[in-house]
Amino acid sequence: MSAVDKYNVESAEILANSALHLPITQAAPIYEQLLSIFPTAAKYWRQYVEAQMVVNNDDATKQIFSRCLLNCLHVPLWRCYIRFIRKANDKKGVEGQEETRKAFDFMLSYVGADIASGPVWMEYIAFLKSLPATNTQEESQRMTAVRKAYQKAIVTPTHHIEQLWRDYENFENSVSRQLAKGLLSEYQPKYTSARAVYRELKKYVDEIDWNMLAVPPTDSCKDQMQWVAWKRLLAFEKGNPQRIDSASNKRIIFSYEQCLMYLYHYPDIWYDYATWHAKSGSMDAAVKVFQRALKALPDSEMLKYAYAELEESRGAIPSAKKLYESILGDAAQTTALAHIQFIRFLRRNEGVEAARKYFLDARKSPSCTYHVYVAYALMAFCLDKDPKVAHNVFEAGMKHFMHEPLYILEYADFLSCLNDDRNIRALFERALSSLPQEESIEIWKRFTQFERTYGDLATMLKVEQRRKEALSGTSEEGDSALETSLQDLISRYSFKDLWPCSSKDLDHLSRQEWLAKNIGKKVEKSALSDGSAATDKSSSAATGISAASLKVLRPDTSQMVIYDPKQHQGTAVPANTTASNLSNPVASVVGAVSNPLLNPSVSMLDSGSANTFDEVLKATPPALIAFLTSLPAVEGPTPNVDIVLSICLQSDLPTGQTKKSTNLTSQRTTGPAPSTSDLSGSSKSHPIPRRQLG
Amino acid sequence: MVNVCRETSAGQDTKGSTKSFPKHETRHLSEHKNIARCARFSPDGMFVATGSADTSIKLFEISKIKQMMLPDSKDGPVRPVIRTFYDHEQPINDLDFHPQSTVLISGAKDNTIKFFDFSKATAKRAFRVIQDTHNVRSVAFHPSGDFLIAGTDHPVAHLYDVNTFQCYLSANPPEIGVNGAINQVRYSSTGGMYVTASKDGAIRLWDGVSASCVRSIVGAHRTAEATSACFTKDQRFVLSCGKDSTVKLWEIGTGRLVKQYLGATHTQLRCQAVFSDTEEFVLSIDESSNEIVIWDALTGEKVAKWPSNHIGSPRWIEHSPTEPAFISCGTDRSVRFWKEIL
Repeated sequence: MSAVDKYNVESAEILANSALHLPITQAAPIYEQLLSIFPTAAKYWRQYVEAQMVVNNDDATKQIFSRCLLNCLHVPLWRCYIRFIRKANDKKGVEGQEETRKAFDFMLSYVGADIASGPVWMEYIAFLKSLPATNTQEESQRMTAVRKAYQKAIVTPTHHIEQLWRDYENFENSVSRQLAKGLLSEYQPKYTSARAVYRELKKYVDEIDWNMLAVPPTDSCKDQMQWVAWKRLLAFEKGNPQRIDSASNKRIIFSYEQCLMYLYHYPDIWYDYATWHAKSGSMDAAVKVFQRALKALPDSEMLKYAYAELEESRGAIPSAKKLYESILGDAAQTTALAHIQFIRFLRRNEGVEAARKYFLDARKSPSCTYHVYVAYALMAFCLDKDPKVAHNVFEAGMKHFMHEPLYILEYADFLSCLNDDRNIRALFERALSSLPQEESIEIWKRFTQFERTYGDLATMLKVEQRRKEALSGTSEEGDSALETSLQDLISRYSFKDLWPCSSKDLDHLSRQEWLAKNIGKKVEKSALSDGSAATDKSSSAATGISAASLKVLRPDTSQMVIYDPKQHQGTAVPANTTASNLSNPVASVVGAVSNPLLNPSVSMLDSGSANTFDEVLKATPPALIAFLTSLPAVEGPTPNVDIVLSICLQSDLPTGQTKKSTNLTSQRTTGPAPSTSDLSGSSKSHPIPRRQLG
Repeated sequence: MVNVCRETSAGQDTKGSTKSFPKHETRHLSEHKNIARCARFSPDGMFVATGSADTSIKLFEISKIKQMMLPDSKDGPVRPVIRTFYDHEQPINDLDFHPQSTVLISGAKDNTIKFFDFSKATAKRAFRVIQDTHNVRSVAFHPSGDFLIAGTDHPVAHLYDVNTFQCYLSANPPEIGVNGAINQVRYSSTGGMYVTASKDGAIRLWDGVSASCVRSIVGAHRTAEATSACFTKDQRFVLSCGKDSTVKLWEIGTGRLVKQYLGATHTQLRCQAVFSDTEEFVLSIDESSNEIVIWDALTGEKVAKWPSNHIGSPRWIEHSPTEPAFISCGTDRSVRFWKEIL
């Protein structure tokens, strides 16, 4: 709660606003407090320093600038600084001018790359132009300085790049028309490229909230989007869009520094920044970044490990060791992981003995869990190739961690590396005799696996039987009590990813498992509705949201009719004998007309059985069939029923049944509609024509 | 939505200002080998599945989609498709997720409903199959998960018991003409009702317990096909869409038309009209301009028209039940995800 409150942005804003109206002596502590929480909040620094400048508190002003400038690459803040410098040096003549020029150079080396630095460049150029020149030599020096400044400014992607270019053109033309042509044509492409980069860069910069205060990362969407926006900008700068060699790294550093003003509490940014430095070869810069990162996030273990890794990999062992020691902290807070990593570090850099010594100390620590034993034992075994020490460590650990199933499993793994089956069996038996049932599940699992690899058939079966008996009551194995023994057999006779059955068989078995689960569920439900209708325990537990908030209404199938779609063979549904009223009439019609027609169609349909044919006819409107069958034998041009139907059937592929049937349906509505309605007598359009006739 | 209902049932047009629909960003997710025909979100909004004319079903994990949409994911390209199922012989028509377990069902032109268990990474085929008699155009699970309802070329919906596969029909269906094939069937939130949208242009409401038809809105979309229908969460209204280029909101209690959402042309495809997750907005498709059209559900005013980004009009649109995000499926075979820009 307090951690959240500490970074409360709204109350910080209110506080900062209130400070605006207070005399500086009262406001200063408020600013100090704010800035201790938000050390990179340039806007507060600026407000603070401006308040000091108003009352001409020069020493305090200088002191504040020295605290904030290098960490806050923020153009408005730096412009404050230059204002202060200019004011202080205005009346000091040449010396003062030199000071101001130095301050400008200093400033531009830090924030000259900012997209908002255009006015700073302009101010600088104006300042250079304003310097007095008493002779031609000084004049030409001044001109060179101005030219240099312009040439830097017009290759920097800023909001004012176009204006700066125009100013530069004017400047060169005012100096010498002849020289101007050559210089401008030389700089034109550089400027054009910078302007193109500016347009691209602006898109990324516009995504960033430059007013944001640096708060620890939350899962809020705004924070996430800001993180994304910064990552995009950094990626853009890393792509070196201007294709310049010297300044590109400077721009990347500048972007990282700015990013960290806002994402000050994001370890990933610090880490990226440091590793970027390390990769580009400047280890010292990387170390400095890590040091700053740890100042920003003193509790971040990740960053400490990252820093230690960098130090260790460049051979700075004492410094790395110090970091490990700081991770260990004081004894009360040490974690098991810190012990383990320190032991490994010592083993790597100071040798076996140092690691052993530390392990012996760590054993006594209250934070020493079984992990430390396992880690040290494995180190002794795998690195020192000393199985005896490893074995002793595991055995010593048993005194403390007998009750930890995971420790037992690790120990068993180790023993199986030694191929020590006698001891493994003894270990399993020892563990199973002391562990409670619900904690022994994994042990039993491993035990059976072990017997499958090491045992003979009799021990294998015996352990599986024992396991079943031991676990029959637990929830975990509730299903496997129902499990078919076939599944046990499959697991006995499979090896790695080879199975004694096809994947189809496996699917089949898992389907049965699913069914079995559902059987259980159903029984549970009906038992409940029989007994107490009031309690709704089982369903709410099983169905989560829907049942918790809504009462679900279940279909009452006794109010419905059963539909027997005459299932194909091979589906799971048993054939139902009760025929529905829907399929009935069809079926009878089929019986009446089928025989003479069936033969040609059956030979054509591959999956052909009476069923397929039934369905085709079923899909055919009963009225059409009735119509066809009841056609009177008239002389003259009349369609042959057999031909009509066989054509219908021939064009009917087994996969396309439904398409066909819909076609038939629609044909019927457009084609012989009047005659069918005659037969069914249900047409509503009927009475109307009759009335017209009569 | 409760507010919306109070206003609309009072029969008054609200004076309140129309809400603006937040900006969305969109991303191409995946490509089927043929037209992407349908999509469905899981009830918890964690997954979405799409079905295609290429007979395949793709299952996406929403968190992975979002990860993919981050511009600079460190771990290289993220693949949001976590499963692909190939088991049908004909194009997929509709999909639904089991309300509680990791089971996805599909209805297809091959007259089958197939069950896929997506908890297993390796199973590509169905673990259960229902063989129906007709083209299965639409499927929906009952909220209990023990039943499912299928809309087929048959004018009466087929209710299946998921455990026994027994199929049930309404005992006393109303007389339905020859063109009664069901384009869509959807359950209400409690399972107390289901709604069917038919080719004959009618919207029919059925009692979820007895399966008797409680209301037929014949000619809801005149003679044009009704292509989609769904309930509001409070089960008081039904939103329907038809090939007459209208989207309509019906009050279930009275059968009265309470709202129309006009201005989107859809005459060719099996167009969907859906609610946003908060039911503040209605989304549908304009086929002629190839745009996604969004209305304020309350005022009926059009609030946005966005290019679909598909080549040719999308076939299907489906909104997440839990967050401001939706999915569109195209005749161009592609699947796009849309998500509010935050």
